Amino acid sequence: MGERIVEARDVRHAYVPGRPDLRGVSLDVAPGELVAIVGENGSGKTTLARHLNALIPLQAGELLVAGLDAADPDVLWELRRACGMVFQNPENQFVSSVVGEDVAFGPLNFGMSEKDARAAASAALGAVGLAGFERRDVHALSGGQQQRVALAGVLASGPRVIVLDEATSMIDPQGRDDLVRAVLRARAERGATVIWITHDMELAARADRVFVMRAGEVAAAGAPEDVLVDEGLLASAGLEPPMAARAWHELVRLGAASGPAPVTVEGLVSLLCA
Amino acid sequence: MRGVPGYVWADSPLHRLPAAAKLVGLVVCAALVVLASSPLELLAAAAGVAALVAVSRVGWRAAARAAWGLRWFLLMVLALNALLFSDVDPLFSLGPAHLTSSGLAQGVRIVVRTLLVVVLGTLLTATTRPQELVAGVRRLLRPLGRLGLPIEAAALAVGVTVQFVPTLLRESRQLMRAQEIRCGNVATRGIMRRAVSYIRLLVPMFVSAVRRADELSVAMEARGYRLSSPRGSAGGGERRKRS
Amino acid sequence: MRVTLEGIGLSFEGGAGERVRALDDVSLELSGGVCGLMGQTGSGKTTLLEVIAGVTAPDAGRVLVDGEDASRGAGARALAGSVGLVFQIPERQFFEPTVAEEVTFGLLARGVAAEEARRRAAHALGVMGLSLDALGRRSPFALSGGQQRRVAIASVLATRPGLLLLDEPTAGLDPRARDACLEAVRAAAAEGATVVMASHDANALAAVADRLVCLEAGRVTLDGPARELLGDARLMRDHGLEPACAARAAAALRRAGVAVDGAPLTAVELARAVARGRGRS
Repeated sequence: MGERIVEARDVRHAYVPGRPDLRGVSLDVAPGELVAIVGENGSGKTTLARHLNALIPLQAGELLVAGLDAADPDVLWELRRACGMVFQNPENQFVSSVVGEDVAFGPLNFGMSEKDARAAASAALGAVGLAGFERRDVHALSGGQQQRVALAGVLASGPRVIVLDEATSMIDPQGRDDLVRAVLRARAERGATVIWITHDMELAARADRVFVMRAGEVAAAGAPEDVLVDEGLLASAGLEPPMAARAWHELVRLGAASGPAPVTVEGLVSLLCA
Repeated sequence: MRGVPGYVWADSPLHRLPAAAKLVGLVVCAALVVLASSPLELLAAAAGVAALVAVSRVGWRAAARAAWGLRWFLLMVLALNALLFSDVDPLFSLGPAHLTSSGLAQGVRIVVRTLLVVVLGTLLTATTRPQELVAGVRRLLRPLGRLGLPIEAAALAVGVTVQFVPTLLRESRQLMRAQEIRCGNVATRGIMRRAVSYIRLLVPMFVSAVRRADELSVAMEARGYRLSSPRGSAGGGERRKRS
Repeated sequence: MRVTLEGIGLSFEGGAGERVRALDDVSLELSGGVCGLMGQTGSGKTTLLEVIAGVTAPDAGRVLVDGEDASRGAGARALAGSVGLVFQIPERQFFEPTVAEEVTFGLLARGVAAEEARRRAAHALGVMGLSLDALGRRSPFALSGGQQRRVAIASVLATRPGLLLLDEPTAGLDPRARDACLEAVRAAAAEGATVVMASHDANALAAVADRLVCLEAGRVTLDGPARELLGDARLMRDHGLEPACAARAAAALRRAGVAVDGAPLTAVELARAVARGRGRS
């Protein structure tokens, strides 16, 4: 791997001394990569995510995001602009009940003029498929639309990295699919790096690389086809392989298939057709 | 979103009035209502509020909704006043409680005042969009800004609080239902039971408000908000060219 | 417990002053088993659960409990005494200082003696895979998200509801907590409760539901055996719903010319269906 947009070296953290929630996390992410971080509740996923945005002061280790040192208070805002975050609960991340005003909040904070911020907000709303929503009431939108407004609020500041912390876990399947589509589009059009924190294994199966978190450590990292098929490893992390891999394992047990397991439905189809 | 006493779509003189004027008006009207004490004055205040409701075109139901939500609380206030206000010349006594006409009058006075102020507040939120309200607060506070006070932060705080209100109301309604069901009792209609269950609501409401505030503050920080340097002039120092 | 809904209708005021129909002529007969309730956001699932629970009164129609009108008198008492409703994110409703008090609250409020309440609380927590001895003295607020959800469900299960209503009980849970939650739903049904579970999660419903009802804009558009409906990927999609993952894969495999026998709902069933299909061709 050449250039890196996220570099974590032995990051350690404890909210309560003696009870660490990150026990030395190291990971690298290349620019433009789509990375999934999976793990059960309490495995340290969210703590790690908040470090990426410098929302938690670095206690030990090194962390560089977009070349900016998370431990350096002088580059804090530059770092937050470079790395945007979408959170789990859509209701608790809005500062204004008017969509356009909320989306412009970030750009204004990062020093854009009113006019530029409004233009950036409109462009970002268009990018997430909500063009013309500027004057709508945030609370009258569905959960999925709210999450796309939140994504637009992040995109409007022109981030290089987008972190989504369990962003799909409280919205319906339609809303989740729309959000995923909007994120993939932002990645394709803007070359943004996407870090998806989730326990939805079907979603993780679509990433370029997966990091499995277990008790504050990275238990495994690699391509989904290598990591998400390991039943024992995933079980120890409180997870299970995606449906396609589980079906394949059963087929192998039944003697109806052999070879490495697929992780997506598309992969399963192409393997069974071959 | 059902039953949330929020903004009511209508076109009326009250809707068109600037938010700052309505805020000042609310304070003045509320003061008048609180000062009214004789039956005649209270009646006049009630008539005044009724006239405002009629002018606002938000409808009687919408205007009364928040007040109706307080009915048990108000009944309790009435009862406590009627029974505990004085022990002179009681109509009826039971232990430390004495039902007196002066207590009854005092209770009625307090209940009517509270009702009217609540209706006035409902009218403000029913005829003013949250963002207008925030703009109004900002305008009223502007003179203080010249003294170096952080009015942007104050206006933002008001805006954020106002937009959480519908969510918190919905949540409190759901909490009440949940408790009713868990108690397995349709007879939660007694005043004392109601009072106790209101108190019980406070814990989850408080926890929820704190959690929401906490999550929101993290989200705001993540989007570059900081108190120290106000928006607009922000970022000059940090804004460097990136590759 | 048998619950009959007859022509339930309910509308409320929308944002711009117009009337919104939340429920429109809903008639259902619920008696034992697990009934899954699916529908897009805003289709009326939560409102329907509240109507069944007797906390929201419908504008039209009536709810019967074991044949008696549940809006008043004996029917209302019967319903109130034996209904349990687990709201969305129920852990947001904790208010007691310890897990033990939280789980026994509903029992004590119903006049169950302390000793018996404790025994039932321990049982309900056990069903959720938790231990009263281990967690009883801890604050419910200090538990992990998955534990909180299970404590919240246990506090409803402890009252042994004859009618258990759950609104998105698995939302936001990780796989381990989700499995425990589904196990509890199964256990409640096995103990004889009539269960209604509203969910977007077709995989979760595939694991527990006997019957499936779909709502669209307040109307019942599908009502039938869960296995049959959830296994039909195209039917689900036509109703704007997400099919179970295995059903989606089965449909994709058939399109690609792979023989799949039957209508599999889980990964294991899918594998067997493919293996059977291979044996046949």
